[in-house]
Amino acid sequence: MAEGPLLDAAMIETILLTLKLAGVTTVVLLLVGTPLAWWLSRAGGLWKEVVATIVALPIVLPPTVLGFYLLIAMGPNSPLTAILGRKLSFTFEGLVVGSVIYSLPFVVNPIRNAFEAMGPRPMEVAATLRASPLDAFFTVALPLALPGLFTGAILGFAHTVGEFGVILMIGGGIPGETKVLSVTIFDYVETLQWDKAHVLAGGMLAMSFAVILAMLLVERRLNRARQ
Amino acid sequence: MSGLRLEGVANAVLAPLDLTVRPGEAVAVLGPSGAGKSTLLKIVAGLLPHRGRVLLGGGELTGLPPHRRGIGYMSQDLHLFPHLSVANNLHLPLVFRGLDRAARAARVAETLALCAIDHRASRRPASLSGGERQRAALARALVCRPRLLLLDEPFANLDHATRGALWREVDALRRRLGITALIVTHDPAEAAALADRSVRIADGTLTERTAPSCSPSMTTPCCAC
Repeated sequence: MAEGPLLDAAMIETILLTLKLAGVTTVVLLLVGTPLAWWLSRAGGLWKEVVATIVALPIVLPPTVLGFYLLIAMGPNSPLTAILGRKLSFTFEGLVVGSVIYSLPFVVNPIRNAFEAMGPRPMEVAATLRASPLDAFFTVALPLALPGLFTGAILGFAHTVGEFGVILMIGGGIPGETKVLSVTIFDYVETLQWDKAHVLAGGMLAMSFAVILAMLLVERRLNRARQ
Repeated sequence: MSGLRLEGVANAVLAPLDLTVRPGEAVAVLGPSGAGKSTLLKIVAGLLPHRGRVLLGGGELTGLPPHRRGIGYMSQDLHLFPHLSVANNLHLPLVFRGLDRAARAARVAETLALCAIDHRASRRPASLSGGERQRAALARALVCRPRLLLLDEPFANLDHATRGALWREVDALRRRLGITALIVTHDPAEAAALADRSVRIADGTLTERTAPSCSPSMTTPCCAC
């Protein structure tokens, strides 16, 4: 084991960047994923299945395939770049967009399941109690789906922290901009700095365990509070 | 007090039917399971599309969304919101109605006392007994002082003694508040206890109109006795 502090400045910068990416991505995922999950839980017809398939694609696609298409979509010659006036590839904003798309099914599916498990009756009852559809959504549907929202947020956060392939494809490893934990660990292993790789990998393992345990405990508490 | 009039109301389950409920009157809708009783109530509440007209107090309800109908609705499964206390279950419709905090608190306290559930105001629905949950759901349906109260098999899940006690209390409360009511039940004794008269639906058709019949299990005397 090399001497010196357990975490050097570069490692701390990487950890903070990873947490910032996961935090911003989770907020965007909840803002985008919740209405999408609501629509998927209530809509019918072929369009619903088409949209559900698109949302689920990141589960089955190799990250390199998704990363490749995102790289093209965010590259210097893409229509998106022309519209925005600047390219998103190899930027923090680009990582957020890629992470949102990559983690979308892990957030949308638990929220959608929570809305579907609720059924139509609570919304009907709220309507007879003078709630407009928007009132009913915010005061009845969202609180009832809270365990699903919580699970989705945790999964989205953890999945973003552990993301590697997509990040490498669209972000590379620019220190302070796109070099997140998973990429840093890969670099340490490649350059045979196993002690540093151990510190970061062990930290991620412990964090993942703690996050999933916390999720299960909070879910159990939420369910008990309602029984 | 507002009277209810249904003119040619129909959908895929119900054949066209006409029904008038006078202001302050309670009418029971009797019939076997699957006859269309609950469908009729959902149409009046605005929860199902239909043909024909629904009028309340002379005003047209047809086409109005449920939250603009001014109707209280209590179904068999109650659906008290589990994430809210009993008191907050009652606060919610008053918030939607736009009452200020003081007015809401006064109305909630009054309604909880009327329904004899004020001692459970701070409890969550899951911690209440069956009878207490029925009282809480009834209080929530009444808290906005609706022009029309719809009760769908309201006490079906209760034991005989609790049902009898609640029948008496609900009937007295409804008369005191002067609320017009449409009550769905398959139990003639419940119809007799809660309603001034009853109609019968079978296979989606309104087949007969009767005065409530007396039954040995009735807990309140009816007009025909």
